[in-house]
Amino acid sequence: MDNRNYTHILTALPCEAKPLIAHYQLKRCMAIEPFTTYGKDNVTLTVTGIGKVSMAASVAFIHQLVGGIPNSVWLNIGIAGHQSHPVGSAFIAHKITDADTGRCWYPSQPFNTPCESEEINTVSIPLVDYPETCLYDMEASAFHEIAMRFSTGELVQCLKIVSDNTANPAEKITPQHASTIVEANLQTINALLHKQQRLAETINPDQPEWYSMACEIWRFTHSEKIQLKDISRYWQVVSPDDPPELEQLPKNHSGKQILGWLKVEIATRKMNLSFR
Amino acid sequence: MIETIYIEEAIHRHPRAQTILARFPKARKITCQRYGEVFNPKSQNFRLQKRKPALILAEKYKNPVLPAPPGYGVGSKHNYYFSHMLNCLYDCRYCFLQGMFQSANYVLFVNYETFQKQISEIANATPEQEIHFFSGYDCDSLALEPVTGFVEAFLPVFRNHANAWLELRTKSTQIRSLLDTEPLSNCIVAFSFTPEVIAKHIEHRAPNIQKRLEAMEKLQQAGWSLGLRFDPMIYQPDYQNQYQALFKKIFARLDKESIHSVSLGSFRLPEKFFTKLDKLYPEEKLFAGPLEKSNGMVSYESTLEHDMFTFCSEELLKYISPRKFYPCTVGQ
Repeated sequence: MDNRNYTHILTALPCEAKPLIAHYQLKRCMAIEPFTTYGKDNVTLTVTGIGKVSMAASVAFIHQLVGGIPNSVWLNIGIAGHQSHPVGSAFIAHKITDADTGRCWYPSQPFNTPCESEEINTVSIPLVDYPETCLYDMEASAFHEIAMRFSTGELVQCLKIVSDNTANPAEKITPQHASTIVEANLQTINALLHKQQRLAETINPDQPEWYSMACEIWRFTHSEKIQLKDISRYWQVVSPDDPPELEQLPKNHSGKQILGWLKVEIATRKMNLSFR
Repeated sequence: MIETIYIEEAIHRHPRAQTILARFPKARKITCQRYGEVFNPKSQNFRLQKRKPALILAEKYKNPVLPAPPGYGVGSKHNYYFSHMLNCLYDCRYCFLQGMFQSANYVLFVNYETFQKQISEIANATPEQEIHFFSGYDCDSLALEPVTGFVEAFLPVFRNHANAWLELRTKSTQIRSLLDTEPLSNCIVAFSFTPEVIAKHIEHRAPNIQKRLEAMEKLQQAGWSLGLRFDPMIYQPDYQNQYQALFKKIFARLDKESIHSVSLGSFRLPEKFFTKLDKLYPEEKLFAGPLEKSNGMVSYESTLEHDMFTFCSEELLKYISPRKFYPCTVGQ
């Protein structure tokens, strides 16, 4: 796994995760203990367990597990109940209300959503009826609240698939059925993840090659690395086709010396500030 | 254009909210208690939201009309601004709104009557004094006119108060509602400009200079007073040629008599806003320019800023009378 653009998928139940694990060919990360986690490349899938506390803890745990990298893609996938929406239909959340506190969140979707959107009411105790015309689940509010601390809101989304309604009560849900309706929506899930990942790429731009090379050759402190990043960004903007000739510098230079050299180069070179 | 509309529950039944909702039958409608729940959360990315901004219909409760900052004005000692809307249809890279607001969604305060009442109160309090009201501070005054009906609703208020002047500040060509009504002597339709190359690169989604000039010509023919706003001035290595060409082009098309005022301002941002913009658009050349930080503000290096200001002032004064020229000194 490299350091950037992680995608974190979280489900409450193993049966919700099963088709996703198969589809994305994820492998169990045996060394990870408190929450069952699967992964491949920059994708993680965590089975959190039911309820807000488990979900909140899982989000925080996964964020720290990958090094606290900001602006990753976060997606909560799960089943939910609704008065009348057909079983198997998928909805992205446009409003999430925590039924216990009354607090609301409004996930922003600056892209064409791959399915309809709906309001979610997150409850702590399973409901046997559906008092309002919204989706009912048990994790979304906690997921959203905590994931928003680690990423910008546009990259944090909830996708719920209707598992029960007035005609198909929740008591009849089986793990097999939950897996089936998640699997039936893989195309929608793929499309949503793709859109989230494109957004993430916009705000997590690549560093130029010479930046990575410098980090490999010379040692930089944390604050020097920030300076190096700023310089490389500036350089990329005003002189993208003419990278600094770092090869000529001695390998035993300190990070400070490299930064000093780069600053002199910037000051002496004619950088292109024209919009033309 | 608008695919998502958030509506404060309290104004759901407001006639203006109903009219706007009817205009977008396919948009998803989401209710909220207060617009700040959607607009203010920190964890939002202006750049990402700008791809597909939502419209938020809200109610303005407090301070609908505020005194303008010192140094902001075009001839009156008494200057106020009001914002019926927050955020803009366009995406100009120098715009301070990107640094000021967390969200790129458009907030429209539908209770125009609250603004109008206070404007009337201020105008009535000193009927012998000229008072200017600026409407394009937190938004473009005209860009969303077909949806907001702002001009149509506010011109009658100013018709009733001869001492109250309205400035509409815009880059928009949405001038139909102005052309459909008798010109108002106490209204200035002010258009903002930067040179063509700059506009093309950093005034995303805004009408090009040609179209803005065509709109100005139509308004001029209809008898409206016009304003020219070169604020902010943007540096380019050949800025002299670029601004010279811009002024030449504009004054070749417009009758100087119909120009009420010309203002000029430097590129200046509070440091906090600048830092946010720079993070949002790390690839942007504008922010890599010859800038310096001083007293919590980011602006061009003082010598350069002075040179640009002097050059552009001298060039403008070749075309207009000094009495129509208003260098903007906000923050200086």
